Amino acid sequence: MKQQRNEIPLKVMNLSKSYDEVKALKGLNFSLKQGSCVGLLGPNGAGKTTTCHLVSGLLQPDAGEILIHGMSFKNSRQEILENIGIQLQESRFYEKYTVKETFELFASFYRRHRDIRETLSELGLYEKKDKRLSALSGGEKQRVYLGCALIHDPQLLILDEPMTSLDPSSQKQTREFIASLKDQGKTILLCTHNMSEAKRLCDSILILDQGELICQGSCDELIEKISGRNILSFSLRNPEEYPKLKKLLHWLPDEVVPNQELGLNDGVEKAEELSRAMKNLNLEVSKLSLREANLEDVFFKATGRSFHANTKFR
Amino acid sequence: MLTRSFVELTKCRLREFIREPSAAFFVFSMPILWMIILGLAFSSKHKEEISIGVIIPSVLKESKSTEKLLKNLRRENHFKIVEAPQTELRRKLRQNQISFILEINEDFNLSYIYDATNPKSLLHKYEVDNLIQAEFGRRDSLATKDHPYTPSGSRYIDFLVPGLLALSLLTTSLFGTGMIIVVSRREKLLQRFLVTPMKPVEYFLSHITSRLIIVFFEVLAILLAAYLFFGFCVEGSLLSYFLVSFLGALCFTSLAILCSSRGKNSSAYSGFSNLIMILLMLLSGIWFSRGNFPIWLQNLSIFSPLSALVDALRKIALEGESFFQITPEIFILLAYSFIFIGLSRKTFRWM
Repeated sequence: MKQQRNEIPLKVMNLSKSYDEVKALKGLNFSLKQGSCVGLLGPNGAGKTTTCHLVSGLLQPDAGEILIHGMSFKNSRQEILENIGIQLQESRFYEKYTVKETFELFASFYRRHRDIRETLSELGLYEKKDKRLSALSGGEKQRVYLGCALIHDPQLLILDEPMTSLDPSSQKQTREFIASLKDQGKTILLCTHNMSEAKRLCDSILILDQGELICQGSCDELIEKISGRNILSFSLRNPEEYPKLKKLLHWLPDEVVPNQELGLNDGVEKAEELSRAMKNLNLEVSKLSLREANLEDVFFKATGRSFHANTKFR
Repeated sequence: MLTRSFVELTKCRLREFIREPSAAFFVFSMPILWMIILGLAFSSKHKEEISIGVIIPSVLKESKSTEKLLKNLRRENHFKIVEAPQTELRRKLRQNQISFILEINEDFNLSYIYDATNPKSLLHKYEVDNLIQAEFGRRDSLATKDHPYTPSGSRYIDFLVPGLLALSLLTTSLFGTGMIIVVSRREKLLQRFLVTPMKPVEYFLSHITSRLIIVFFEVLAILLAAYLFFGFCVEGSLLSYFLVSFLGALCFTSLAILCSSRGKNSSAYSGFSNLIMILLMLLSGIWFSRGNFPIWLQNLSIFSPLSALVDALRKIALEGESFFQITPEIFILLAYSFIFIGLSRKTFRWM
């Protein structure tokens, strides 16, 4: 692996995948820098899990190429699998197995692996090592699954929805553990539909929608470039008076809609300006608020749809 | 072959088995329970009861000859006399509630009405007729002596034990190995294994090896119980008996892997396995000899893997044949194992 550390841990080029008539991925391109934590975001059906399955070697792409430390699955499948850690969504392990036995089983699959006691301690599972998985909480199980992905000390980790179905306290534990992996210099691809999770953990975000990469960059960059740092919401009691306001403030949109939301990078100044103008024009306001923009606003701005519009049961 | 992952996967299978009490119950207790129930039901040491329908005309009811005849019949404990009108007795004969009808006419001539298609009916008629004829003065022209004996291996239980063992190997393979694979696919554990460097062949070998280890104890438990409860002994070599059992387990575990190579639905798998099990069981002559089958079915049944296993086990246990004398059965079991493994390689899905 030494000679491979200088290479890009994961490079995806023109990746396409269809299921029958449905195009799940349409020419996806991205790469991960060594030591970065990149969030693959998108609503359900965006193509996140397909991307995870493709970069894990579970699926074959219809077109395009995946290089992991410069190696492709076609030629070096075993070598790649020795060097990546994968945690798949919804995989359930033997419930009657103890934590230690589960780690021993997964450790046996690799040429080299970490000390199991050390891994147990690092995950805060040492005290529970002889407990069966059936006796663990959701968060503890999730840590076991993460531990199995880490047992061979991989430099690249692919984590598919690691916090789904966890209670808030387990989510916090898992988030802290992923943050500690980041601090250790691991390269992480985090597939998630949870925007706040991605914002807290990731250096860079890739937003997928309907199989296409619609934008990428750091969370702040995306907010600044696409939605604006602040979201200004306002509505007039009498919308017919809007043209008077527009005449005074040229940065306002031409049309008024109920509960108008504007994404602005200088939201505080603009909110003050709007407030002053309304006062001067004697306009009655039914709503005026300012909040920080988030990735959902980025998604809305980029697609014209709400992030959760396609998301069921979340 | 003995890689760390293979050893851990095999340990995993064995731990799963040990930690699932219902699995252990089905493997060890069910065949023994069946053996005890069927063994006791079919191994009564008492003489079989013979029910005789008797029709006596009213004029002879009080006659000395009739009294003598009935007295003689009643002296035999295993004869049961049923007196009733003819129509009633014919109904009982039709329903197999009596073996035959003995009709006495007014001249004290005897007639027997029996079911010609039922060998037992004929046999019972002869037994009763011989007794009556002797009692009324018939003398045998030759002096004869009976020397009844029970040859070893001729009891129903001797016939049953190898069949039960073979059936147990089939069911525990289909429902043990196959169900674990289906559930692991449904729980996406197979998918998780696929993204590790574990070699698929190690996964399959771990299933086969763990089954063979369990089979050793399964065969041991059944043989021990058969010996303790019924004095069952293997005439031939015990080693051969175990080897053939291992071959049977290999064949059925391969069949289980093939049957579970696609599905994720455990109920559908269960239904499919039951269908296969019933088909093989009907062809194999586990409960009764295949000699009663029509010729075409007998010929067809030879090629069933369960028949091959049952035949091989019976030949070793009852006829003392060696491993090399059962080459055709071994060949059938090996051929099926290779076919099932070959097909599984083509059809198996991890996701």
